[in-house]
Amino acid sequence: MEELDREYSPRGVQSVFLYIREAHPGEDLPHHDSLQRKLDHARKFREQFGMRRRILVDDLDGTGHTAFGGLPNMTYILSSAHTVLFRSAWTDSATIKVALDYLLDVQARRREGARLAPFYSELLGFRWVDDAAFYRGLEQNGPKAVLEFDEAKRMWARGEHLGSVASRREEAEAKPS
Amino acid sequence: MKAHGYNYSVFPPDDDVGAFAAWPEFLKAGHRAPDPHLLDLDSGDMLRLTEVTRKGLTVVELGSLT
Repeated sequence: MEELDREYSPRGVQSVFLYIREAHPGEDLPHHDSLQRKLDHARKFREQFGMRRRILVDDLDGTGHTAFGGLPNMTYILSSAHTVLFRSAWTDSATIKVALDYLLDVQARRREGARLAPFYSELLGFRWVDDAAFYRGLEQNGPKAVLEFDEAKRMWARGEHLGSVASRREEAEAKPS
Repeated sequence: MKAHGYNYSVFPPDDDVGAFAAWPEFLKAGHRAPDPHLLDLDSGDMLRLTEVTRKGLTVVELGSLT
């Protein structure tokens, strides 16, 4: 995503990182029990990944994160009118690049006078799965994070989550859009 | 230490899968985005997200260290 920012910022695209709760807290990188800890983790994140993007930190209760859907690794592209133009349940730079190229092309065509009307569309994205890298991340968080994720995988494999998924989907579909 | 709630200390597999299941119907393209109050890590200033987005097309990635 940093590389994407370097490529697209000269073309007028801003990129920000919204720092949210810890997805897999462990002994070495615990959950946020104070705003100060959240800020400390955000600074560590910036150093570890050499971030040049602006980092904006959500409040301790996750008001912003929850309002955007509460997933651990989402990306949105917003217009200057603050409208959602693109959203992805998982941050995958290749998918976001496709969306940015499309949206910049729309902007350019409009500037040239093309009459373009918006329409709704969806795309199923495909991301690279790198279990080894993911587990290296969990190990950095602490042994507890590894154990909890292993237990979660066993639970998912047994299908114990399926009841909660069905009820969440029903709740979501019952809400007016 | 709080095991559950927003800043859980124990990873909640049910909530995680449930959130992914509900998300397709949540805040779709074409809708106005939320405008939370956020803290700029560098300046320490509070700002609304609209103060950023009003300047142009904006990629907003949400995530954390873990």
